[in-house]
Amino acid sequence: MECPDHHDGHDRYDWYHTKPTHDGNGKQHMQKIRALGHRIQAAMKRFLTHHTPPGMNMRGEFAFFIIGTLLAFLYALGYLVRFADAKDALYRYPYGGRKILDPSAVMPDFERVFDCAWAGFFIVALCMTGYILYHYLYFYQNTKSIYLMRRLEQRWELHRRCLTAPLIGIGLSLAFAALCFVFAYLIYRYATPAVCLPEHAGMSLRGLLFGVGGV
Amino acid sequence: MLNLNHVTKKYGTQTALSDVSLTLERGEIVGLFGENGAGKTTLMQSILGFHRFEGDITLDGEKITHKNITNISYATSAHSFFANLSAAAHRDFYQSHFKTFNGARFDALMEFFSLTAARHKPLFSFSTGQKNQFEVILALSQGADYILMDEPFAGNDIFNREDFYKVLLGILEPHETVLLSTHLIEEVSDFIGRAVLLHKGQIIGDIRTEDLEESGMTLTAYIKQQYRYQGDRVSKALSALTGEDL
Repeated sequence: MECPDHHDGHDRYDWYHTKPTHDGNGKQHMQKIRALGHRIQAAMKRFLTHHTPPGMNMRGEFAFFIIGTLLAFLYALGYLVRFADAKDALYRYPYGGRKILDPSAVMPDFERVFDCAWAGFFIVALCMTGYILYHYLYFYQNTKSIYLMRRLEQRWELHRRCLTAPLIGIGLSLAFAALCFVFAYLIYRYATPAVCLPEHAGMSLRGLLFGVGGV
Repeated sequence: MLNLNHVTKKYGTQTALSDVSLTLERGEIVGLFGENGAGKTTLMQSILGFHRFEGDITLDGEKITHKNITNISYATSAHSFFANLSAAAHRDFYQSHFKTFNGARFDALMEFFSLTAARHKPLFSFSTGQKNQFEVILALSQGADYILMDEPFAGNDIFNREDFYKVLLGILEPHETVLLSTHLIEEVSDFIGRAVLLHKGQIIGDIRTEDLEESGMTLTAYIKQQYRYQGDRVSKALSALTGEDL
């Protein structure tokens, strides 16, 4: 099937092949991606302009959230080490180095292996609640811009600007914590030999939140 | 019409406003005078709903809520703008939050106060005088019919203030009402149409300046009379301190 635009000399995408037909199309593709990036950046800026305290520098908060979340992820990775150790203990190494599953061995309870791996995300979420207070106090710093905010027709404007960013941070942190939990449990459930799984899941909220002392 | 009806405000056991009743008609320019702690700021902030109080305050017959609050603007010496934002950013903020925002007046006043060149600088970099000017510009440009000014020129030089009064008289529309709290009695005496005196949370005087003129009394003399000002208190104090008969 002949593409109608294939030989017209213009830099266009081949209409039935997915790859560009000319070198110039690669540049065009990059430009499109860059333009999309700019549009997303502009939309984010617009969103932040209307959902954060006016004039507040949000870079510090943003950096804190990113670094805090990365550290929380790193801490959560400790689960994989504990899981690998616990799983390794299910095996025996009699002779020659070939490991043999001990059918009488039982994997420690999930909460023991998990050992609060999601704690970092909760700490980040807790810090984000501190930012809520900081945002409200911002309207009393240097000037009393609270007087302006309280004179606005939009009665929720002040709260929207103080709460949105921290609540997004809290929401993301809790979502990451939930993901961390789900992944950890799926790994525990399906990567542990079925015969070695304990009869009870071994999950108490207290144990999951505060830990039970590790493996 | 802004109407305060038997308004009482207490901070703990201390009474800041005691049974204050006051009516401001549209188009009036009213001076609010009183010693420090007389209740001027509390009165204005009660109008704006920043404090809980006894009694009631109505604006054009309705209680003041978020629906009609934008019809009142407020300039305070504590400043109510965002220190990190520029003048231009404030213009955008006001434009998007106050439907009646008067952009032409904002630009004209910025020009008058020679602030146009600094419109993209954050306000924290302004001098105290410039901050006061900008605070007043915002209050006058909001498009509110009732403009409350709480000692807006503390820190401004006299030339600036006098020019401002003249401009203010020139730009105010007949329906705009100004309640101006200040200690600069002589300066505003030609500018206001009515003087209200507060003393220890109570209104002790309320008079039109034309009535004062007819009686041949100056505003300062009237205020001293209402306050029962003791003219010889300085000489008495000095005599007591020095032991000499002055």
